[in-house]
Amino acid sequence: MRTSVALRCPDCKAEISADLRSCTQCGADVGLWPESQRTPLILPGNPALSADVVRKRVSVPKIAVGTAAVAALVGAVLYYMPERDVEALPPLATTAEAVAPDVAIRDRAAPPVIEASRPLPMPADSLGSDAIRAESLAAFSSGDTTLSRTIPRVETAVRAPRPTPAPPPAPTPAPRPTPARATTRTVTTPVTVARPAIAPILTLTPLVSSTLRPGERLQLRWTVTDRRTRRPVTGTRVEFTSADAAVANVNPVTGLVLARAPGTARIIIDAGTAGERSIELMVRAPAVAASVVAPTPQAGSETPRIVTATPAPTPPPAPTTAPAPTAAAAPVVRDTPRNDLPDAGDVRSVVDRFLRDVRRDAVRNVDVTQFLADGADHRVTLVNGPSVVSTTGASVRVAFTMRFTKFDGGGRPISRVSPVTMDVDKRDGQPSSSAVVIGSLRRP
Amino acid sequence: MPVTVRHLRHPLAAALVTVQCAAIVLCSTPQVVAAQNAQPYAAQLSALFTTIRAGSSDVAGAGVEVQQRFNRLYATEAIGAVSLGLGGQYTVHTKVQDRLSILGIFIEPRWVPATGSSLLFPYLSARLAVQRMTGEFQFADGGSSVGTAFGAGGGVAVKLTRRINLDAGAQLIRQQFGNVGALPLGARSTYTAKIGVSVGYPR
Repeated sequence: MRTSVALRCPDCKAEISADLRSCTQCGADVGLWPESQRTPLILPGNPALSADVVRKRVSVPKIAVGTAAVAALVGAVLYYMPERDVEALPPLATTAEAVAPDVAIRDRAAPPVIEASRPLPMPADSLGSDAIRAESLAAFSSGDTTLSRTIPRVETAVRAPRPTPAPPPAPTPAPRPTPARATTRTVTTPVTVARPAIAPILTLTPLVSSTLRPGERLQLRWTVTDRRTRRPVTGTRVEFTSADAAVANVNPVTGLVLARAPGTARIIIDAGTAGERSIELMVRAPAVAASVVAPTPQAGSETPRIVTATPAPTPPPAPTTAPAPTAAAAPVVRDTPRNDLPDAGDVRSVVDRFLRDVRRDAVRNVDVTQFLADGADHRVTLVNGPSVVSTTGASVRVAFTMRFTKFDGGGRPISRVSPVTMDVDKRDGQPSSSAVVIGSLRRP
Repeated sequence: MPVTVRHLRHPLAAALVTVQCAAIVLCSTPQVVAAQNAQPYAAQLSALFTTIRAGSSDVAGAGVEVQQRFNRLYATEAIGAVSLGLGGQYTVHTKVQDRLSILGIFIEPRWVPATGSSLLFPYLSARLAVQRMTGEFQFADGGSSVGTAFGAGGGVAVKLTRRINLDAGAQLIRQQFGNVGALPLGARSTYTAKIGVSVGYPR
């Protein structure tokens, strides 16, 4: 391909004629290059490209794509590479010794050979079977070390010499005949000890409120996640224990707490290798000042209206017949402060304070935390309410709806609403909230 | 006979590789188990890959692109978000010892539709640019030409952190240039691809 160009000397840039072999200004030999090379090399079909073009074909896009692929591969390897958690991996010998004192590793080089000298919990004739499962050896199946392989075959089964029986004391009765299955044997068998997995992490879902009233229930929530991938791990047994079951007891399996009496109780959550956590719950005494609040919910009203507060009703007269002397019926008399009746301003101040806490992500609710953890320009506003739902003693239960808005990572506005109920009471002149329940965030 | 030749070695290649590696390393970090951003404004730096149609073949090139994005142009939860970016670009295209460079400014509107994902944000984009192409040829006259380019395409933004997005996209571009020295150019269709990061501000 030929392009009409004004030829210039490559040295002095003087304009020269295509017929000349040398520059008239500087004398450079212009005819050194073929005429076809006097066109831009960037155009196709130029014979001057030849091998240089082939070499330059390995161009920036190919280098970039290759680099990106290699970097992605390295990133994937880094991401999926098992984490070396030295602290979570106890030494093998220590683990084995901790499992059973009479089990020792003879050779620490792989494969480890474990010698057990203890009465085997199996019939003696079963030693001749083709396979012995590790689970059948009770000492092997506990602790952090997992014997996951089936022992292929018992290589040697050496009958240990019978222990010499000690002379029995004179007045003791005749010794029992030893059953055949209790014969002590020394079994040496190769066992493949699997590398223990990295222990997962037990995480408790933070409570909105750690204050309960007698009779209220609280469902504890927890997750057991992989230490490296942060993904939930299923199958981990979690056990719940209450340190003071008289104050609050907990279902050991489901984690459902039932508040029973005023006081403080510590709930211990044990997830084995995943760890142990504990939370402290306070059960507040029911209000003794039996002020009665008559709520008058009005449509469209945004503030609770507490109309009247009547004096506390007189306690019922003492029964003429003595009550049955049962321990369960004995009331626990505790000294509790006298409560005042919260008014509309108290309720509003408590709700406003709660909204401020929500904006600061101080309520420790999972949904709220997740919503606030992403995006920008988060706003928490009151959609409606608070309105009084019911009254219990000297506290009022109010309900309202919060609206959460933000801009997500794509710049799109996101809006969610969440219903909230809480008990508002007033102690020593200070309104406070308890039993706060935040509903799940949903689309408005 | 001595010949003065500018030796070109793709000066932006190292920068592109660095940006890519940094972005991928950020992606591979589990803690970080979000283009445009959640913040009202964003600054974006991207590696840009383009082609120039010369004769019957494409000459690939690479460069950088910086742009300032205004993310709150229009946004609703049902429709999504429309944003606008203003920026500049610079790419270099070389073949043997010939060199073409394009320097331009552009506006780039984007639409991020409403999707259910809070991690990936696909978008549609358009581009209108004014560019100046400069050519330097080893054996011919160089020159420059001012032209325009417009096109459309799409991409996806990936949320890396609360303020940083990884942005990758491609566009089909129609370019219009005059002759650049000895190189005749006209209206040609090319494509551009880019990958970069955008940082939203203020916090």
